[in-house]
Amino acid sequence: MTKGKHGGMILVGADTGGTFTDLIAMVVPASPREAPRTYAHKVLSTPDDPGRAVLQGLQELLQGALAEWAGRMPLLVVHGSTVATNALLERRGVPTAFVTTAGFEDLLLIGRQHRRSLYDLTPDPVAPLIPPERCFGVEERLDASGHPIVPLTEEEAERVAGAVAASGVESVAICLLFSFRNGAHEALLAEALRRRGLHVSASHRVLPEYREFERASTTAINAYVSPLMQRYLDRLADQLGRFGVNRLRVMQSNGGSISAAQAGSDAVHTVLSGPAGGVVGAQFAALRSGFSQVITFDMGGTSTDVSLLPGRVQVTTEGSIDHLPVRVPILDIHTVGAGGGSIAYLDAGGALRVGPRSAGADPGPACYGKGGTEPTVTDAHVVLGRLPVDQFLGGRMQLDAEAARAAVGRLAAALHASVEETAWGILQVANSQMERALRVISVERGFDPAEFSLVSFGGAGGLHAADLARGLGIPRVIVPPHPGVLSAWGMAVADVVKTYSQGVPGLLDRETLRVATGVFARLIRQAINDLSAETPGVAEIHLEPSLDVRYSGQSFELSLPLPVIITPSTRVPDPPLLHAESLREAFHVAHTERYGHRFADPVELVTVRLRAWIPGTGRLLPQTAKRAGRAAGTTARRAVTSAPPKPLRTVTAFIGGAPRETAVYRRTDLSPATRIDGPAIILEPHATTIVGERDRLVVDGHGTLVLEVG
Amino acid sequence: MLESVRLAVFQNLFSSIADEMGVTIQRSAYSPNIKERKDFSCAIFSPQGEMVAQAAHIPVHLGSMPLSVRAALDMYHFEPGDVVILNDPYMGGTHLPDITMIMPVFADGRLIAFAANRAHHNDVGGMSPGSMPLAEDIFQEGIRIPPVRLYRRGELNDDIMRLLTANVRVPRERKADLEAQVAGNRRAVQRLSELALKYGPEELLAQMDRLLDYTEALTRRCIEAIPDGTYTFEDFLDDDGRGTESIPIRVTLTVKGSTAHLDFSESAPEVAGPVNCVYAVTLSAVAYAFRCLMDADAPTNGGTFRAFTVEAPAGTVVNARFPSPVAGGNVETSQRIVDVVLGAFAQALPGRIPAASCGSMNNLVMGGKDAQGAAWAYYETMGGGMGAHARGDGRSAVQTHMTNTQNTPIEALEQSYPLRVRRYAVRRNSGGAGMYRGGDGIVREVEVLLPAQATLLTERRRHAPYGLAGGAPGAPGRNRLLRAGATEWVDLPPKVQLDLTPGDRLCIETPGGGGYGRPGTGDRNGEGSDGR
Repeated sequence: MTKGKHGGMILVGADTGGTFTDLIAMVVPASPREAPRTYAHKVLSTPDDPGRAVLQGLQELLQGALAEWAGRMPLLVVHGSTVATNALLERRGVPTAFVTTAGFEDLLLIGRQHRRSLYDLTPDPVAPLIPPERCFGVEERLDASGHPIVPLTEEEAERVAGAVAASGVESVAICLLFSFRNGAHEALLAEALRRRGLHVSASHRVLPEYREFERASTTAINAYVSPLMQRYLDRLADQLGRFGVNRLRVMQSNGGSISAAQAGSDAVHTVLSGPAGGVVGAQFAALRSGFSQVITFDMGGTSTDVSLLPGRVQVTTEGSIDHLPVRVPILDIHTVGAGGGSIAYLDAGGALRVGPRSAGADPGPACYGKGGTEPTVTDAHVVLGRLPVDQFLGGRMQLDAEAARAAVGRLAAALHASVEETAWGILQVANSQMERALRVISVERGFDPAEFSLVSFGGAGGLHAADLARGLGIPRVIVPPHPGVLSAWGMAVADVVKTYSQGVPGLLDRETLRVATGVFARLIRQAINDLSAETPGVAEIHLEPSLDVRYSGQSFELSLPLPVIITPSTRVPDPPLLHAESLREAFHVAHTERYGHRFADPVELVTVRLRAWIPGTGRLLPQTAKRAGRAAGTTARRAVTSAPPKPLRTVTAFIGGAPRETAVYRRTDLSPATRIDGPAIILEPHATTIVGERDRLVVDGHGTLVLEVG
Repeated sequence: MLESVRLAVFQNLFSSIADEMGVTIQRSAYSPNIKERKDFSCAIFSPQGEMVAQAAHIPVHLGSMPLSVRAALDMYHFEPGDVVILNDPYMGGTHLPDITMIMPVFADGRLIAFAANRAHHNDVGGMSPGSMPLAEDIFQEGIRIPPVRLYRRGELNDDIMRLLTANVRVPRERKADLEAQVAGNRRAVQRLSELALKYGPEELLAQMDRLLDYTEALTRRCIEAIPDGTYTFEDFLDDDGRGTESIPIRVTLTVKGSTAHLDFSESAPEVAGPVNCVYAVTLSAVAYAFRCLMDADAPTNGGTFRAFTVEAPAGTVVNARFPSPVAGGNVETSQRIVDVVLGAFAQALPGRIPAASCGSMNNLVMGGKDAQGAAWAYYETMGGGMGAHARGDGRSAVQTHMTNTQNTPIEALEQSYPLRVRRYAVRRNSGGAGMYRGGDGIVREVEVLLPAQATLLTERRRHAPYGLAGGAPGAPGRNRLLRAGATEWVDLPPKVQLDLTPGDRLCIETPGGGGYGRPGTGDRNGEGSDGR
């Protein structure tokens, strides 16, 4: 993990999914001139104890592909865990209390007082994380500048701590009004609660930013899931240790990993980590092949995740999970409820709809032959010959074409259309939903899709990517190797990341910036301490300071990045120089770029942010990566390509809306520089890629499929 | 492309444009009311002025916007780049704070659509800050903007902008919010033009028609499910703030096959105080009630309006005449219209309709001068209890029916205004008893730190939200005042205007929802209650 010399290492990414646990092992040789070797592995997930599948997968790898290196190199595991996520979604967290300023005990219950569904008169109940009887008020109050109007006394802190402890909870979330201005009251309470053996999450530490409900929600989630995560990770680290794993790290929602110990106390940072792994993996694969501006497209069984990377991952602080705000920085990923298993139906008004209901993994699409009778997106592909029935999961599972045809046929009868027309219609509707999602993250945010490449992964991504790219004017689709386990790969190569923030509201003037400078100095010191403690021996730490700034009175901020600081871990660098006038001007410019206009109004600072990171292994492979990437680019552009191998066979498949003779290839048969003109179908065990009629595919030096959309 | 496929694809296309319009406005608007509380709505209209697609925002806006587009169409021959602005309730608006902007979309020289949006502005002048006063007539409520062209062929008519901003209390904020609304429309026009280029104007127009037909068919199916017959329901507004109390609103619903007729002619005559509705608001409330009968994923568009007719004679409280004051018609009376229409539905469709919800937007408007002498205006609406239904308890502390605005965070409010929130809580046991309990209301207590004026425009302080099927009504709301230095809280009427001095405290308790079913009966399927 550290820069400079090492004797080689084995890096494993392990991603727990609903059905499978995916593992990627990278053997990173000592010499940076040697390319790393990569091995993928999939085992069935073990939902009762997700760690079992991780251990089993690792053991199989160590005895199989990794046998040659096992025990001779340090072994590091980066884990994408769903323990916190599932505990939250299924309300299986630990008994938790909520402590807030007296008079505001219902903060979490009221939320922002709006309803989710505008026209639903009989909404289903929402199970709260923390029931009202575990919400406690404390006599104290700060004003908007953080000055105590009602000071918190020791006695009051003790009284509340006693009541909380007596309620039988294991964990406590504290969120007092304006604590982001002054954390003293929260700290006093936290102290009293910790003395009683409780797990404490205090909002001025979890998320010291303004907006009480969002801060409280984030803190409550952390309190609710952290103890579980801690126990799970402790046990897993212990068990992995017996396999010779030297270090366990955990993937976070912000696209970076963190030590297991940190993840155990700050579990809210991990609740959206699965999709984040995919984005980082996609970025890594695309960069390696020479493409930095990408849109990631991860289509699975029930949903599709998309994210836009204009040269780097984008983070948002407006995230939520299950409608609960999670305002720590997370990768900006947009999800739409359409995937391969989404069910198509005709609604009462005669419109063809796809999803959000999904056949899931069981019974799955009709073609799985496990009793599903409703037509799904996957069935439509089977009917149209786009998904060969004898090659699914590398041939381990035979798809039932008749069942798919029967399922789509019933819909066709209702539509008075042919089975093929109906199947094509299902794909068109599904594509229109995914196109909408892609527009949200690109056009709606001012980005032109024509300047991006679409990185496709997930089991169903390659079946739709080329058509979607064509519809949006995206010139190119990239399919990395192992697209079915890309999230695990992303985890393995991710940077080590910690994020810090502090609300510093005030006019953007010298006085406020003086305070901000002090905050930066404190956050930088903390970041250096944290990162050097959790990655001993680390040479270099990257610090990315930024300021959230807005026009006075507005409530949406723009982030102003400040120059990146790269520092040895042995030294605490000076905080960035903050100059009011140039920052104000920078904000006016940023506002004009984003919204097309600027105001003559005062500018105010809201939040000070710091993202601190240590380069992950992904960044340690520059020489080999760049060389190979260049070679690939060269071959693709100069057309120094080799002819395709003999196809596995030729089939009739609906591509571009009409049946065409289509060559079918196994991806493993394609060597670098192979060029294939569409139409074609590329098979691999966990994914299928369709090359449209006018598209041209080239395999680059990394085995990545680069598909130029025609 | 199969017709059924095209329908779904174009519905996605149009809705995504309305959504994008909303994102543009929210991002570039200025006032907390638009940015934080999202008190605005966006929609796309056919050249005939029928709403084709909407972004899911504020129901009362969406149902009433079609009449704005009609009013603009009646007034002007649109040219590319024109933007018509209006707020006059008697010429296409609803109440003065809601300002609507309409922009045409042309392709190959022909009009193919309109983009329109409406936003609630914090202040549009008039006799008190926040422009929701207890007025005698429309002139006291603020500046009236009949449909006028703010932009002509893409050029800003700065004369109008200056006239507008000269008549409001926070001109800088108004200007920025209006610019955000224009930016939203521009974005939609651009997207619709791209679609016209890709699919051709003919196809676009054909698909708009098809979508409207489709939604009309869906609505008619819901009406067919109502047994033919006549159903009558009556409920009351507490008062008009100017002396008239217990104002009846009565609907007679007649269903025959797939058509429905709603007759409001037995409702009260228009009143002196500002709870009168213009026809657009009444229509909007009725459309909302029908939309609730439809599936959650059905489109919301003008097709629904084709399936029913509304009779509301001019001169009644549900179709007021110029120059009656109307500020509260939009926010309060609209809720009561929903209550009576749903009450009539409940007779026809027992088991499907919930008891009455809170029934008020609990409007609190405050304003004054801050420590630096600058004017401020603050507007907040508060949720309450949702009515219980045949499957479960009502939700607590939530916006219901015709609005869905978010609250202003306390940490934002206290930073922006000389106010301090002392309490913000669920109002326990305010939901009506029943087999299923109505949701609880909210308690919010605010102290003023500097002299301020306040207007309360609230309802259901006397006439409680009804229960159904034997369920008890929800607790009526309550407004109270504790003067600085005093020891006793004083009860306030539902609608009141106050001059406040530093240290004065206002406490608003919002109504609970009605209960459903007789208490102690039935099987609750385990505990349905979630505490909210």
